[in-house]
Amino acid sequence: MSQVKAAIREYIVSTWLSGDERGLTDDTDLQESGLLDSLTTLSLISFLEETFKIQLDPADIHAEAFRTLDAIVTLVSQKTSLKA
Amino acid sequence: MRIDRLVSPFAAQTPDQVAVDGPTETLTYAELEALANRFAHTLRACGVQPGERVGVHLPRSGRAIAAMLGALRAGAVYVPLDPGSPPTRLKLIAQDCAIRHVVIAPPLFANWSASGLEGPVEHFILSADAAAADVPSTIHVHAWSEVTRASDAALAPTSDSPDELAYLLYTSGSTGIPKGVMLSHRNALAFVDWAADLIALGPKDRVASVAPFHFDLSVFDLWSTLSRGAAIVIVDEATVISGSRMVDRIREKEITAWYSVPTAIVLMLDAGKLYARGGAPSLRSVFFAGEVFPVKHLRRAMETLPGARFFNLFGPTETNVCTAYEVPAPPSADVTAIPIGHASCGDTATILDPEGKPAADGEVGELFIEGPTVMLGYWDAGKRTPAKHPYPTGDMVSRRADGELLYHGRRDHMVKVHGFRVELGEVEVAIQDHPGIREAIVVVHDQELVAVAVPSDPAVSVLDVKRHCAARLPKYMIPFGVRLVRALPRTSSGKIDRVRTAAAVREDDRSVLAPIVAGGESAGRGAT
Repeated sequence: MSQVKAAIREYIVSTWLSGDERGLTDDTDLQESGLLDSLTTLSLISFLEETFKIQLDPADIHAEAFRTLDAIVTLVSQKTSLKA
Repeated sequence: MRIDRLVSPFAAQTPDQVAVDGPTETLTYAELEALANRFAHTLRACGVQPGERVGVHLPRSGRAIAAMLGALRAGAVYVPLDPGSPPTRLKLIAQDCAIRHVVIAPPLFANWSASGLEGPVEHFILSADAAAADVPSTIHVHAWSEVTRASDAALAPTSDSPDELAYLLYTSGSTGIPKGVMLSHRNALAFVDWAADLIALGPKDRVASVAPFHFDLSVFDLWSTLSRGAAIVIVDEATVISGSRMVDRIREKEITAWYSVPTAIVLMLDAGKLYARGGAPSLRSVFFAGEVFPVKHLRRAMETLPGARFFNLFGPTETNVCTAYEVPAPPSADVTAIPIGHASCGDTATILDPEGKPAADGEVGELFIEGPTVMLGYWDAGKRTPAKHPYPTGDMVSRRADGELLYHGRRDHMVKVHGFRVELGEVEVAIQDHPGIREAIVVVHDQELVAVAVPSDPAVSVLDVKRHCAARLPKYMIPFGVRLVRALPRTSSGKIDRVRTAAAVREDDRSVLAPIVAGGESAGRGAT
């Protein structure tokens, strides 16, 4: 697992799953699972921006970009590669 | 009519019929009648005045019931004291309603001497033989032999009025300081007769006593049973905590009627293996009250006990049972909530919206009750306060198109989270609907909903619970935190203890809430 994925996964487990990682996979639908709402999305965005030193534009912030752990990793990778 | 007179006709007509069976002694109607009179004479000789409060501090037993009857026959008011109650709480209650006399089981005497015997209680009447206690000269301890030597002749009644206070039931106020709910003979009898008629209770019935005497479910077990010449079968405290022992008792004693919180019934289904053991063929009536019966468990209970009628009885101690619903058949899989039914016991039920206007069908409002079961009032901080009429129950309900009421939780369990109004009970019902969750409670911590759930299936994960909620509830009602624990704390009446659960969540007290996943620690909603 990449460091990026590990960090995001750790955030999801500790913040949204009370530390219980059972059942969480790379393609778990985070919305359907009741983890993502408007408030948790905002917290996730500030976590990603601070941790990976990236800036997310309004265009990046849409439901599909945050639907799964894999999707979030993809988004972060795009942003970090742009920066580099 | 007064409740202490209910026994006498049966003592004359069926003296040898069992009135109270167990746990260690069986009393016939003649014996109960005689012992009640002996207690009445003893209390009178100790100076009990009409209208005074007499504490009854005994484990559930025939002697405890005789002591209550005796207190009433001496013209007094009985106050059941919880045998499991800590000394400080006993003292608060005794001071609140100025109890000078306590009928007590000798092993419980230590509870009073531990907190110092100075206080309102001057006379302890022992309910069994015991060595003489070393007490100050202001305290009188009356030996059991004083009771057994007293006359068994009936005392002349001090009053015939059914509107006088019969008993006080102390409940925890929202502040945690106990307050006494004042109930008259008329209050009790409105429910007692209604319930006995509902199931055509008769002399052949054997009614379980499961609930503590300080809990109002016991009003049925005691007075409905004795009003029809039937037998009370004591299911004692050591039995009530074990599903398999409860099943043993029901089957061995051929109990016909049972009234408890749903938890006790679920315990018999799960730990007691009620189905595998062949159910309980003698059981023909099951009443439940005190908390919401998760539908999936009710379905199993009804399928396991096909010969029994099931009734959902509803009401706070202040109104005893004010609405009731007979569950017609095991609820199908698409049923999410069992109605609390319609007004019972001669009461009328009104639903008012926040402006005090009658709510339309389907609209949620507060339940107001008027009628014969509404308490006289509170005995609180040494003062008597009359009940409000109609009585605001603090329960949020709605009326279905067919007239049956649906329960939506306590008004004080209505919380606001991120600006949304959330009824905690609604979230709890949704979580309990998960097949792998035995029970759940939701509290607010750091302005977030936190669910505390006991899985019946160890494979259930936090993600499972959240996904399950997401399929049933709006997003703002999905608990942010989910704690999977081994058990929930309970009150002395067997209900889930919401206050202690909330405190344990706040303080992360793992001695109260033992986590299933070790090290499972939730961070706040904050990003880092």
